[in-house]
Amino acid sequence: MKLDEQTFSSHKTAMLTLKEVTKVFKNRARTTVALHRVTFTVAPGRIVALVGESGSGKTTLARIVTGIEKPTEGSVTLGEWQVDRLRSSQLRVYRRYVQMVFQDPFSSLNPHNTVLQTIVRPLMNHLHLNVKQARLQALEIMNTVRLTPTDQFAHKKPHQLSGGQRQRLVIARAIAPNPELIVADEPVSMLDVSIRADILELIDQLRKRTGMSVLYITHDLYSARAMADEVVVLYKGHVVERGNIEEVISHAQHPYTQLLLQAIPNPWKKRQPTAHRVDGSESAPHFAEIPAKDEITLYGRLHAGDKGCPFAARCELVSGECLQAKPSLKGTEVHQVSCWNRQV
Amino acid sequence: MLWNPLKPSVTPIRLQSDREDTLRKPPNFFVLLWSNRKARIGITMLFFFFAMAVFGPLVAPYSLSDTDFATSQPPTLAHWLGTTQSGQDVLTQLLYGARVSLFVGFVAGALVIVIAMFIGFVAGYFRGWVDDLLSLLMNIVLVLPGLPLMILIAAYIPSHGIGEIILVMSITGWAFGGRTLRAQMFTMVQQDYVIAAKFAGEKSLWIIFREIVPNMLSYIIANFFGAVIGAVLAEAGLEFLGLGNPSITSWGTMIYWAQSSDAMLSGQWAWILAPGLCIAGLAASLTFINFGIDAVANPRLQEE
Repeated sequence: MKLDEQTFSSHKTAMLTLKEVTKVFKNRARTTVALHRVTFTVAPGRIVALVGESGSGKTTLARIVTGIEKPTEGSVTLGEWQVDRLRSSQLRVYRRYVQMVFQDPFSSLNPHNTVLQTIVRPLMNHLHLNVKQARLQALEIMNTVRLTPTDQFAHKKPHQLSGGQRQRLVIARAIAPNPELIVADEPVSMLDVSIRADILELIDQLRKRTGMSVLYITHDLYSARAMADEVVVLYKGHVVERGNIEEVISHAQHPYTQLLLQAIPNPWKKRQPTAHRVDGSESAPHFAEIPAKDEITLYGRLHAGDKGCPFAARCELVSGECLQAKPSLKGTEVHQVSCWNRQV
Repeated sequence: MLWNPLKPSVTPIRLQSDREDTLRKPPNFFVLLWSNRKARIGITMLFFFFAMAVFGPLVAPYSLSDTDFATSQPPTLAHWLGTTQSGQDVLTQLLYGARVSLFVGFVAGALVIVIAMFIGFVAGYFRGWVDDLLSLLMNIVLVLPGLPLMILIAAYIPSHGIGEIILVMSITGWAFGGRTLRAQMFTMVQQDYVIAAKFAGEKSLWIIFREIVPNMLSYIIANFFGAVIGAVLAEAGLEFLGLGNPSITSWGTMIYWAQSSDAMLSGQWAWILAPGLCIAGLAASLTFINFGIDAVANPRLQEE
């Protein structure tokens, strides 16, 4: 199981940099801010987990990084590529360096293409190999992602594969052009729990072997811990906390990150009727039950999003300034949090 | 009901292993189609009409150029469907006429679907101003009343052969198919595997014809049969109105001659009824096949 050194050089230098990326969707009815001044970097060979609930803007961010959509404001660069200014003709070349692993391994594979065809095409298109070379290379890649024995799998079609095997194929297709960055959009959320770890481990191994960086998008902080180096927590398009994964998980500061941590099921935990609150008391109250302080009305909290903290409506620590202005990321490079009431 | 070897008389209980089997090897599309009762009726009927077109001249009782019979006879033993006002055998005409009607129907249908595919796919795939422009074109052609437009074009064309009729129908008939194929392409483009193909560096034409078209083949076939139905009916209509070439023997011209020689008044019902039934039967057979394709391709419509 060795990789072709020529095509899989591990000398990768491209750094993904997002600066103040804002994405606004407008239609007649309303304006939605999907991303608000998102800034972070993914260094070569690193895995950065992007964590957030549905609607937090994770997928929009993935689409912007891969060039499917353009940001409304801000800049995205990968190495020398100015991603937010790519024309559609340049986009095809750019995708030699950025590949994507999709959430649903059932819909992201063309049911009519065999395993071999699926891997051969990016090799021919991006690396300009001829059919013979591409086939040999594809078999090598199948070995790498452990779709073995290769002669058995080569001519199978997606419906003959299991969910895990399909996702291995999707990963094989993604690493085929030897990209600098792989954007993995919830790559294991559609898979059986028992094979999730295998797939994550495979991605981690490939990262180590090829030196590519990975933007791992997930809603599950626990799986992020399994392989990521850094974590970026997104809430309603705002980065609320970011930093080294161990640091953030062991010393989570933002109430939303703490909420995510509490949501991780723990089979060894003693049975409790209710979840723990941030302050350690028995149950997490519904936001409407939080006693109103003088200047904080329910209406104010619900509508704090535009000028105040995006999390104000659900936060237990909400105070007057949360409704007045958006907090900004503060802290060290290892750990930053965006909250008026919590510091690192 | 007739016994059908492809369909067990008792629906077996679906076991897990059965489902895995079907997952492993999806049944052939045509086997599936044949298992649908409506499609089976349609295919049988269409086969009958094809046999008529291929072998008709061989089994025809008389020669097409034979005009020596008594004119305007009602059905007799010698002439099962009677004779025309110029002394031809109607049954012979009917058998020969199948060729023209089927040929025109399928060729015009194929042309229509090719135009519809091209315009619909380009509009649905590229979207934006390309889509706006082509959609406008399709909408205009759609709202123009088809038959009057055909009559108008046919009236201005200098010669009136089979080729011209096919041309006229191709120009006027593609918009409906174009619109439905555009809508289908519109949703297909958003599928993950199409986005994945873009990531694999594929070009637009490859994505449309090698990645997407195989996945909407049943839809295209259904549209093709729809176009053939339209062409068969339009051809009969044009010829009945005398806008075709009356010297060609087809089902449409047969009705035209029957009408112009007052066949109904002289009691020659078979002369009108036979080609009329053939046209209706051909259209019905194709419609039945389409129902079948619908039911097979769209599980929500599945009966039983």
